[in-house]
Amino acid sequence: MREKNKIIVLFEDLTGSFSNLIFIKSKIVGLLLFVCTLFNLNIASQGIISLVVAVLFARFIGIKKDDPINKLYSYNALLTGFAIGFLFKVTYLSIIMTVGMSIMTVLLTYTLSSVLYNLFKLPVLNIPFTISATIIYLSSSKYSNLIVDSFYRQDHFNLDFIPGYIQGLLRAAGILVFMPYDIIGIVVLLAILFYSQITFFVTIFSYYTGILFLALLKGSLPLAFAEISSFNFILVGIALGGMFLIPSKRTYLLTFTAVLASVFIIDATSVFWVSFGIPVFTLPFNLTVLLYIYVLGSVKYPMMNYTSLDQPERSLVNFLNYKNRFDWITPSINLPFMGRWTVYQGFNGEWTHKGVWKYAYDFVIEDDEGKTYKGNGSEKEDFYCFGKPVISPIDGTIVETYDDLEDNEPEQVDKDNNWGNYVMIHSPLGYYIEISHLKKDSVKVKIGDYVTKGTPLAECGNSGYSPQPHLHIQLQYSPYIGYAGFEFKFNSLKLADSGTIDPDLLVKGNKVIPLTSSKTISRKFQFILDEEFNYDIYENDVKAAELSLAVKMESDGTYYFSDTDGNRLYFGKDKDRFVFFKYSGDKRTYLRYFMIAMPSLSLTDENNFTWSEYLSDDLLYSKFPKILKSFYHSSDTTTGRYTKVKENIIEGKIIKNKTGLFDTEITLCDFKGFKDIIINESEKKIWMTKV
Amino acid sequence: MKKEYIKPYIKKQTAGIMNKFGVSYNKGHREDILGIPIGNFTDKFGSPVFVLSEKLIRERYRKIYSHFSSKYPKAKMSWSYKTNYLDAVCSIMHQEGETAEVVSDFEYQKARRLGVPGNKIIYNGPYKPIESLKVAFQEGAMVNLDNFDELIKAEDAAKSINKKVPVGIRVNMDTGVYPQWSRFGFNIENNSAFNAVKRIQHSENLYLEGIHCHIGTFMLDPNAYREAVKKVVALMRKIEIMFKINIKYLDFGGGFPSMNKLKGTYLPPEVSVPPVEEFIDAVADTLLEELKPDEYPDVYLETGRSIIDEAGWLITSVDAVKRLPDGTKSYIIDAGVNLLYTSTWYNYKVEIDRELHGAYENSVIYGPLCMNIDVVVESAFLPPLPIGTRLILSPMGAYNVTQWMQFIRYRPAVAMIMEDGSLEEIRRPETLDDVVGPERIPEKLKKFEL
Repeated sequence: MREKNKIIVLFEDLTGSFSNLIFIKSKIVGLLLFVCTLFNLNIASQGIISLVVAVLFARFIGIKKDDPINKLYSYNALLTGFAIGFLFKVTYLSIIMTVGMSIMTVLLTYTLSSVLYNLFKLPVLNIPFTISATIIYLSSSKYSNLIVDSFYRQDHFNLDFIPGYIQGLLRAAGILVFMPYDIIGIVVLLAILFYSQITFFVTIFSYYTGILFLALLKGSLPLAFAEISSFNFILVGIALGGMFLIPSKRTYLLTFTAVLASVFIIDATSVFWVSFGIPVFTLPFNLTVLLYIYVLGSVKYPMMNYTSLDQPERSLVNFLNYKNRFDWITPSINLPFMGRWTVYQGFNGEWTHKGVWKYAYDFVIEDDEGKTYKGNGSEKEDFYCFGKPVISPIDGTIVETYDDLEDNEPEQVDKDNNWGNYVMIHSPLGYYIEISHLKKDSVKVKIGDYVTKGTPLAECGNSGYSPQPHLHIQLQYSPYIGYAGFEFKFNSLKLADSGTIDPDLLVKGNKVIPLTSSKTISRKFQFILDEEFNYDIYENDVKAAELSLAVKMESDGTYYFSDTDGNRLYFGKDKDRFVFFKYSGDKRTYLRYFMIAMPSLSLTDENNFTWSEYLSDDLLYSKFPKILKSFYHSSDTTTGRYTKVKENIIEGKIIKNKTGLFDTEITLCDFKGFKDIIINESEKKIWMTKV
Repeated sequence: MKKEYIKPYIKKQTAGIMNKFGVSYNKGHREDILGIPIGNFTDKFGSPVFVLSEKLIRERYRKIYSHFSSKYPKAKMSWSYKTNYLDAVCSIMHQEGETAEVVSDFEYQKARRLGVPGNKIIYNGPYKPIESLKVAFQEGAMVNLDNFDELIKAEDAAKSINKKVPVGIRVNMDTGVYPQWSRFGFNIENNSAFNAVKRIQHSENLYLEGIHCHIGTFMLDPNAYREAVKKVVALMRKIEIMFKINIKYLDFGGGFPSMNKLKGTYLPPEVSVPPVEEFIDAVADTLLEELKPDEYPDVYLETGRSIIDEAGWLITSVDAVKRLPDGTKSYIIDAGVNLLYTSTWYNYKVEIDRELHGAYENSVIYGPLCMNIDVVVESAFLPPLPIGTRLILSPMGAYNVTQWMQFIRYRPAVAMIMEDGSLEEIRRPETLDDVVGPERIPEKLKKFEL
């Protein structure tokens, strides 16, 4: 790829840093803010000087171009430069100060960010700037030359007709770019609104929340609106409500509490800081936000935003896509047997699955009449499941086995050895799987054996507290028999009656069949880097376009299909399924139809099974406002119901709010890839066929 | 009820159950089949009539599949058409999920006509015409080759349709049973199986996908299947390593016995025939012992007789009673070896449609054919049967309605007792037109005067 022009790179860094001032990732917003600062050339030029010095210094000491630290120090240095420009006009002396403090900011950023990240996995935010700015204020009181030379009176860009309760907001917004004036505030707010409705909402919401508390405590509304540090409320709101957390009712409530907490920090710090003549800067914001994200992260708050995208709206869509489609927290294992078995006791079962053992499953084999035995069932050998192979549900190591106990005759139980004969397997993921009531002398593995999924372990028996032969399975976090069980799921299975695969929970009476893996199907999705696939696209049987896809790899190792416009469709393997993880790109492309027609497929050669998938808003052009969606995550949800009707053919029904939108059909190639995709919309039939 | 008068008689004492003429096995009567009176069948469909039960077929299939699939993860079953290829029977099997196993172009066409996709057909047998190979390859059938000449024929067939097609090979081996079925397929021990694979892998139009064997019929020793699995898996490993390919399927054929009593066996089938589970265990357990989970190929069984034999009966009527010169009692019934090819090797269970009193004696049951060989049952222990008594012969589900022949009589109806208890005629009795339909008389032979 051609190297970008250095000036352009610097300009992009600059606009990026500017938009970072209000925790936004947008070049256009950055440019707007930059233009704002041009109203006060002192601020603009000191900021740019500081930024350039910081970048040069970083390169000089050997920080690489692609180091993520670059963004952090350049943004802090920019703020530092603004702080100097806010106080002093551009003179030799003030530039000397800018150079020195810019370098200091780089050092502070580097050090603090590694300390915070390594100790607490926390971002550095703009703490370096807060410290630098404090240093500037404290030190400049000693420099009489500087004050004589550079102190200046600023122009005010205010509109006096605006009422106080709006002026307060505008000035707080303006101060984000060191220009607490009405006009600048209007520009900043418009920039925020243009960028994201959610960010705009939290801006307004958190500002007035903070002001309300201030006014109550101080007893005066005008005093509250005049409070210069109230911009911290906005920062807290944007950071928590739109950036570090996923926008939701709960998150907004948390933001509300965070603003409340920051009120006291503002006033407490100001007692000290003001006595030295320093503004509190962003200290309240830094302190509050860091405390919140550290604690929320530690208690595993479910709506942390780990992949922060450039807009809260996009973070929300991305979060919902992953939350609704993938559960990577609950351990998921295969069934420990072959063929069709029936759930005899599920979680919170009526007999023994209670208390700390509530997360366990019992399985038996039933015939069509629901009997578990042939003949009269007077002998254990009459039971269908007795002696059937028990196979490993995971890849793991055998840590304990026991098979010396006799199998009970039907209707008798061994009360002294509840668990009977058993096998305990340790998963490399940290948990243990315990399978019990095995047949005497049937265990085929030894302690220390490494077993893969499907390895025969033993045979189903009737040892222990077992009135009829059955299989008990539970997941533990300790290797000892009888310890508490924890929640888990089964994957790669089909419900015999409905044909649905991989339900979240099995209940008593469910008949389950494990899906067997197939090399033939897996091979269809083994795409190789740079492999290309070309499609002809027909709309209503008229050729409309051509699509060319190439297989590419992201820097984090995930693969994606890329069309010629650079839109991306990420794919991979998850729990014996081929999945399209997400789509990233323009709203109306043909590439999305691959994912709409088949977001996932179980890699089995069985046919006639069905499954549902949540379809993300970025796949289907949705006009539903995201600000409303952030309040009600389940509103305006689109679902696809898919059926593998026969070998290589998957049919789908796309449903929104219980009404069908359109039907899809995808045909897989015999060898590799997707052959045909048909989208039957009401007025338009799209047919994509491989060339 | 008043006790019936029985004429006094003298009878030779035999040693009870263990006598060489058979057992009290034939004793007994049945007034119905699955609750339907015997008379209903003959009134509706005439005599003789074959009767099949949908319910028993399904139950038996499910029992076998359930056991097999809970013992091996990639268990597949394919319906052996030659066992019983009536459309209704095959449809039940296909509804249950079985694919079709055919051994001739006729059976192949019959399966396709019924709606079985080509890639769900296993095409076996020692003789496959080249035209049918072309069709099978075109439609993606699983073709198992039998010999080197057929292999070359298959290459020609694939070449003529410009395709590279998957094939399997039929193999045979010594599994310790007699007789060893060595006439079908390539022998493993003398390396011809391996040579066949080598030839296939070097062919431009074929590649190997599976191995098929079928070690015998009415096998009474499950251990033979253990041997077969071990030898086939060893061959599979050798092939996979040498040619760096994955074998997609193994097919262990069929040959599992039913509860029919083989002639020459001493013990009743309830004692001498191991339960079908033991045969499946022999296959599945050995596979699990020999293979690692990521190596598991699809494994097919082509069980025919064991599924359907006991779900079928033949209802026939006594037409005449005759005392032979040596004093043996004999009966002539309306069904003979023309319908009962399997009577050559089975002693059927004979039941009568009513309770009859009188001296039980060993009797011969003859068919209606004007041929000395037409003996349906050589020795049945029966009370004196009046004319018109209906005999119910069983098990009758396997092979008869495929191997029957149209010799001097029409073939009779086949009825099916549906799951809900209703009766359906799944094959009507033949008529003159059915028989003479294909005939053509040359012009000069058309006229004659007598």
